[in-house]
Amino acid sequence: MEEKILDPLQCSFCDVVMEEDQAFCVSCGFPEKGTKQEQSKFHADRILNMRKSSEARGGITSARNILFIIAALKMISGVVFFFLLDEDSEVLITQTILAVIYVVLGYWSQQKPLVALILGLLVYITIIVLGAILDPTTIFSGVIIRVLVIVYLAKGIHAALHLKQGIR
Amino acid sequence: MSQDSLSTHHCDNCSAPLVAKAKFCGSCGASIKCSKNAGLEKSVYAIIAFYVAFLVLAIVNNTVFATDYSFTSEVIIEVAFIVITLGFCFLDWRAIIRLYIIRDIDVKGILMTLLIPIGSAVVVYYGIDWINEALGEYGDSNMFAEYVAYENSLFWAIFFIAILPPIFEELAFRGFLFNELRKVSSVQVTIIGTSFLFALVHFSLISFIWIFPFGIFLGYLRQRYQTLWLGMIVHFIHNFLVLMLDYYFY
Repeated sequence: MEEKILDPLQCSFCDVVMEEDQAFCVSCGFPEKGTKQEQSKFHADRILNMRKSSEARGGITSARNILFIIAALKMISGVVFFFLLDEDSEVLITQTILAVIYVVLGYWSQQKPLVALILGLLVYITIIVLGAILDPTTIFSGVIIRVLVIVYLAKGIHAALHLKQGIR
Repeated sequence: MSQDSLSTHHCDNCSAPLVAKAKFCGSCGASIKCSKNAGLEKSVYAIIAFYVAFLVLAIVNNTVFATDYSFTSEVIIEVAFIVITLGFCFLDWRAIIRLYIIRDIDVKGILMTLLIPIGSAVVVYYGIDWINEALGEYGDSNMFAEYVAYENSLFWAIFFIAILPPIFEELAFRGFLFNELRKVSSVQVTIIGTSFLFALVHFSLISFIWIFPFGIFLGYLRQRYQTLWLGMIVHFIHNFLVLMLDYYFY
């Protein structure tokens, strides 16, 4: 018993050395001096958080895939319009720039999901608005797909936000 | 150690002192990550709302006023833009006010502020001509042409192109947006993000190519010298020179 007191106090969950006056582990938040109930609540919360985190990562991944899909569609439509339907080169150039922007944002969302997805959503909305201004008949074209894309991107932003804040 | 850096080492939940590199508070168990990032969603919503407000303004500008483009419609849109910008800035006006403090700027900063916009104006002016020719476009992009019909056309052109945008676009993008984005991300990401949105609201994918790096330079100045004045001067010189070239060749 005496030997045990001489040993430095360790967190029984992650083995980090703890100070005498600390009731919680500063590294993992384990309630070392808490009741049995508090300790089992810690374990339950931890598993819940892990599940929520993996859900959030899934949300970010789907938003990223949406960005890649839009990029591919932009590129394909640019090529089709220019080479098959003989539109002017401006269409090809703008669609290519857009595709590049979406691909770059998609890749960037691996490191900085929150900002990359916010920018992706705002680009998407801007292009819809720009299209509607240039040709008002396009407002309702593909409205279901547009809503779906916006919902997925918004979900991705939400997930990235939660992941950054540490899910509670 | 200053008072400010000391205060960050206390728990937001129970104000007990925190050990270095703590992820959780030792005395109440609160997660440091959670409390540090508590107000994050407010900034994210503010950024999106701000941008959407601009989009709505652009829609109004291009639909309601497309048929009768006049001096009145121009004034209405400019006033709406200024009101939206000031309204959002009001959300965190203390941080904005600090950006207007006159600070000591080193020689490098002054030289960059005066020389880079001269270079960028020339590059952009002749670059646009070159791109238009390369694309075989013959639509004229002379900025002065829109103002010829007004009385005192040169004065109004300078006012609407070289005076107002530098003041309020800098406030909007390097002021409000920069501050909000900085709360959610690092300095580099903030500079890239604000330049990206700055380029995007200009509504031209071709000019995206040059407005984006221009925005990065403005963001760098804002971060390096913590002031909006340099950005306003750069923006003014650039817009003024491009307008003057347009005026000269009109």
